[in-house]
Formats: sequence, structure tokens, C-alpha cells
Amino acid sequence: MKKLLSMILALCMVLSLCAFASAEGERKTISLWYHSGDAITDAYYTEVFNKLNESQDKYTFEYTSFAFKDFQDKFQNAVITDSMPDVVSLGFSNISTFTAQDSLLPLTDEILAQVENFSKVDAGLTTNLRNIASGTLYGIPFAYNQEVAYVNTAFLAEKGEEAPKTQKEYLALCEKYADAENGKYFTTLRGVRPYDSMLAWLFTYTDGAGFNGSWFDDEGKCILSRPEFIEAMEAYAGIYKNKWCSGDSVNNNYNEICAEFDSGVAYYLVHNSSSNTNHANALGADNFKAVTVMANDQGHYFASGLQPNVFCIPKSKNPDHDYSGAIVLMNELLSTEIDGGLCAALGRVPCNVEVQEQDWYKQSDLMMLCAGYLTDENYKQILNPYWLADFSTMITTDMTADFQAVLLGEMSAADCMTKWAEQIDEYQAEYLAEQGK
Amino acid sequence: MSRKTRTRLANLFFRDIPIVLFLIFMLFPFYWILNTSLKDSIDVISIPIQYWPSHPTFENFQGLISLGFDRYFLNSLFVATFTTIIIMVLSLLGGYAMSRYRFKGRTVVYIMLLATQMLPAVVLMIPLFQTMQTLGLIDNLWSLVIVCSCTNLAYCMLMMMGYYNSVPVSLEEAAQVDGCSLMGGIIRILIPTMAPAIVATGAYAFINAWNVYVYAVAFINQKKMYTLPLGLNAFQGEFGTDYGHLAAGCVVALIPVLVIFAFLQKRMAGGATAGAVKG
Repeated sequence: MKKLLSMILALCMVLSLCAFASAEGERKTISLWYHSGDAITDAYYTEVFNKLNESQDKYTFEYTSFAFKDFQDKFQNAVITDSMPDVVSLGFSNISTFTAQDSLLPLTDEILAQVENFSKVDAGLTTNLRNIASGTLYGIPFAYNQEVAYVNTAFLAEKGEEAPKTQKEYLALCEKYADAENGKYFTTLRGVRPYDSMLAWLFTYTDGAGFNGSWFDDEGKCILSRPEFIEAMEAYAGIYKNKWCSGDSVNNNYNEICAEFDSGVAYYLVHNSSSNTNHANALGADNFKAVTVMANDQGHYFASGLQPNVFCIPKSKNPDHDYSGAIVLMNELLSTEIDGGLCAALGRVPCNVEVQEQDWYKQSDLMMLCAGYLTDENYKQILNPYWLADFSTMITTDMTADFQAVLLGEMSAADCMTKWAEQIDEYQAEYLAEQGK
Repeated sequence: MSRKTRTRLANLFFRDIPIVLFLIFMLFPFYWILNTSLKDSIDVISIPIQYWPSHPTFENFQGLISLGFDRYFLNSLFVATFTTIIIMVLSLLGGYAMSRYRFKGRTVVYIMLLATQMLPAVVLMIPLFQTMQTLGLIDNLWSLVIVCSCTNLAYCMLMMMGYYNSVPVSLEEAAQVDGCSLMGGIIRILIPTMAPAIVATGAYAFINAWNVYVYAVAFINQKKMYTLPLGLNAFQGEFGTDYGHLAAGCVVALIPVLVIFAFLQKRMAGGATAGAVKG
């Protein structure tokens, strides 16, 4: 009997040890959902994640990317069914939508203290992110695109022209080189999702009406309906109405404006730094260059505040959920080596300031141009009210329809600007009421 | 003007020219996809527009393989094939029951089957996602097979019911008099008689499963499990669209559908209308 008992006890001990050993050796799976997968990003992150998994035995890090078009629905679905990943990358404009749904974890000081690489992230960018969520930080930026102008240098050299530095010089060149008969124009115009380039034009033209890029005056009223903004809109729409750009412009999205520039239909393009590689492939690196966007008579130039991509931690419905693995992964992804490698591969502007010491960054004219914005006193950020939950929908849907109507002469510039100002005032009033102000 | 000339002119203006215009209208998008797929990335956006590539190249098709498109193709083939098999077996038997048997609640079943077709995919997406998650079928192609089978089965069964209705019961009775069992009668007599109808139903099921997108977005995360529609969407990025690869991918995705129509169009044309009028 004793023998049997001792055997059973021994067996129990062996089994317990086995169980303990297997529990200790079990790696916790931590997943990243990347919001805009492509061949370059996928190849880069797959290699990075393999290295991360080999370098430690506590976690298995999983990388999953989605087509940009699918991601919003995919993440929305995950939020509803509480099947979210541990870490997610988001576009800047999506943050308000998901914070309004309470689906992102607020990154408190306690959490941020554990993300060692957070201290390397540009403080100005995180301030912008806090501003859109009443002071709370919901994501850490890792890369952004800067609004720049691309000029076809081969064309300018042939014509003996300089790249336009001011809106007046630009309009003169638009008129001079518009050749509708042969389908050649100096410039492109974006009719679909026109907000970034259009707002840059409006705020630069009006010098922001003296409010330093804010959409609101001292009394909290939206300034878009002021006469100077209406005049600015008329001048901008005049580029299309005067046939100084292609007739297709009313339906041009970013693909089309880039295609017009790349195919030599237009010689000047306002777009963000993301398309630089495509232009180099199409035109040849020596036949174009990126320059700062147009200034006004005061020398000031405005562009939408930097809109970085961010890493966020989705908020679990389980109050006891353990976020430690997500924090570890986020910290790794923000490191100088990994963030720098991604930005170098994609041609994006890094948010980790230590990346600015890397050779690829210092040797890139585009990066130097983007960095120059941040130290140029003439550069003014347009402080888009991303804190308004409906703002993202307004700029993508309403602004497209209304701007197209203005281009086609179905709506006056005054009616358009008044409508937008009223919408913003309404959203702001709702926001302030929610905040109890 | 002679009568013959009048007839020729009438045929020209009311038959030939409209048919040609209709064909141009219908085929132009397919031609344009093929044209784009054979251009390099510069020619795709070049102005003036090239109505045929100046330097035709297959590099977009070669690039598809390095991007894993062969895998997506096989995944779509898997989903479409198994969905079609499941639907055909169940709709053949279910359609027979609905056509031949008079049972209590038959009308209710009929209305319920019709009602399932009224729900759009997006409405079903969340509950179906939760079901598949519970079953451990997320990132598993069987989730798409099951859902495509369920969502298409009702319509296919009703199609089959219509076809059965057009076949006289006396045919089966004659087979049974000659010693066939019920199943034997269906397999040996009815199915060969209804071959065009079965082909039409099968093609309908196959094409629907081949094109399934909404459920694929919901159930599939890993790229190795992507089906063709998901793979095609991946060419439309945040900052640009890869038109060359997108067009090449569309051509590849069209191949099975074109093959089905090319080989089976005679049978399908007959089958599609076979159950329309009760014989």
C-alpha cells in the first residue's frame, strides 16, 4: 500500500513539474494590426517580428496587416465583438472616431513610464495628439507625412522659370502655361477629398485671418465664413473655372493628381511626402524636386497640422486585462532602430527624434525639407479641430461634395464657406456641451 | 427600295448596330483591364492614353506570384469548389422535397427560405463572426465555405424546386415501376434530365462564392488565407493604387468565371429558364 501511495505521489509530482515547466515555457501571443499593409511594410515588419521573437522567450509577437480600404471595417468589427489585437496602428483622423467609442486605452503617465522609447518621440507631435482628445493621449506617433509641393524641374529649366514661392507667382504660372488644347497644365487640382491642399490654400491666402491657424476667432466662432476666406475660395476655384487645370480635376483624388504630375500633364503638385518615391520612378529623380508649399505676401505658409500614424492599445472590455505585453511590443516598435528602418524603407518622416541622426535621414533631401518646416518661423500649422467627432466625416464627405459643387458652379463660394462655418460651429457647440463648458 | 433592301436596312439599324454598340459597351471594361495589365507602371498613367500598350509586358502577372496571388487563387478555388459541392447536394435533395412533397408548414418553410434572402451580408456579419470565433474558424477557409453555403443555399434550393416542378412526376413513377428506388429515380432519371438546370445553379453558387468579399473581410486576417477579392483590395493603398497589378489580378480572377461561361453557356442558357414555366 505504501509503495502504491508513494508511486502515486511521485507521479503527481512529476506531472506537476511537467505542468509547471510547460506553463513557464509558454509564450504569450501579442498581436499587432497594421492599418495599411503593402509589400514593403509587410516584408520589413515580418523580418522585425522574427527577430523580436528570436530575441526573447516571453512573448510571441504576431504581425497582421490589412488593406487600407478594409481596415476601418475590420477594426470596427473587432471593437464590437471584443476581438481586438493587443496593439493597433491607426491613421491620425481615425483616433477621434475610436476614442468616441471608448475603444482605445488612455495612455496614462504610468503606462508611458513603461514605454521607454516614448521619451524619444517628438514632443510637439504628442501635444497635437493630446489636443484632439481633451488632454488625454491615446496613441504614440511613429511616422508622418508632410504637405509639400512637387515641381517638374526639367520643365522649369526648359522654360527658364523658377518654382513659384508665393500664391501670386503660382497663379501667374497657372495662367501662362495652361494649354487645354494639348492637355497640358502648370498645375493639378484635387476635387475629391480636397481638404489638405484646399485648407492650406485658404489659410495661406488669408494669413489665417490673424488667428495663427486656428479655425476659431477670439469669441469661439468659426472664421471660414469671413469675406477673406470666401475670396480665397473663389481664387482657388478659379483655377478650375479658368481651365488652368485639367477638366478631370473635379473628380481627381490623390491617385489622379499624382498621375497627372507623373505623366507630365501637370508640372506642379501639392501633395504629401508619401508620393516622392512614385514621382522618382515615373519622372526620374533628377527631373523633379520637392519644395515648401506656396507662401503669401507676408511670407507665411500654412499646412494642416502634422497628422502622424500612431500606435494605440485597444481597450479590452475585461477590466482585469493585462496590457504588459502590448506595452513591450509598442516600446519595441518605437525604438530608434525599428522606427528608423520603417521610415527609411517607406520614405516617411520619423517621429523618433533619434532617427534624425541616422545617415539615410541626413542624406535625404526630402527629410531635410520636412525637418525645415519644423524650425521655419514662417510655417504655420492649421489647427484642424480633430477633437470634433464629426469633423473626419465632414472633411471627407461634405467638403468633397460642396467643393465639387463650387467648381461646377452649382454653389457659390460664399454659400459653401458659410455652410462649413455653420457646421463647425454646430459641432463645436455640441462638443462644448458634452464637456460641460 | 426593294423589300429585301428594306429588310437589310431594318436588320442593320434595329439588330446589328444595337448589338455592336451593346457589345462595345459591355466588353470595353474587360478590354481596358487587359490593356492595363499588360502595361508597365509608367505606361499605365501616361498621357496621351495608350489604347494598346506600346511595350506589352507580363511583369504585372509575374509580380502577382511574388505577392502571393497564387495562394489567394487556390484559396478562392477551395472556397468556391466546396461551397458549390455542398450547395448542389443539399439543393438537389431539398429542392426535390419542396417540389414533390406536400407537408404541413410547406408554405411557411417556403416563405422562410425567401426571407433569408432579404438580409444583407453586413447585417449578418457580426453574429456570424461571433459564431465563427466560437467555433475557432477565424482565419479558416471553412468559415467562408459554411457561410457561403448557408447564404446561397436557400436561393439555389428554390431554383432547383422550380426545375423539379418542370419535370413531370410520371417520369419518376415510370422509373419506379421499372424497379428504381426513390434515390435511384432522382439520380438516374431526374438529374440527367435536369443537367442544364443543375449546371446553371452550380455556376451561380460557384460565382457567388468566388466573389465573396464582406464575409472574407470579417473572417480572414492572415494573408496566407486571403481570397482573391481581399488580395485585389490590398493593391489600393493609403497613398496610392498599384493599377498594373490590380488589373493583372482582375484578369486572373476573371479566368475561372470566363471558363465556366465558355464551356457551359449552352447548358446554362437552357437551365436558367428551365424552371420558369411549369410544364
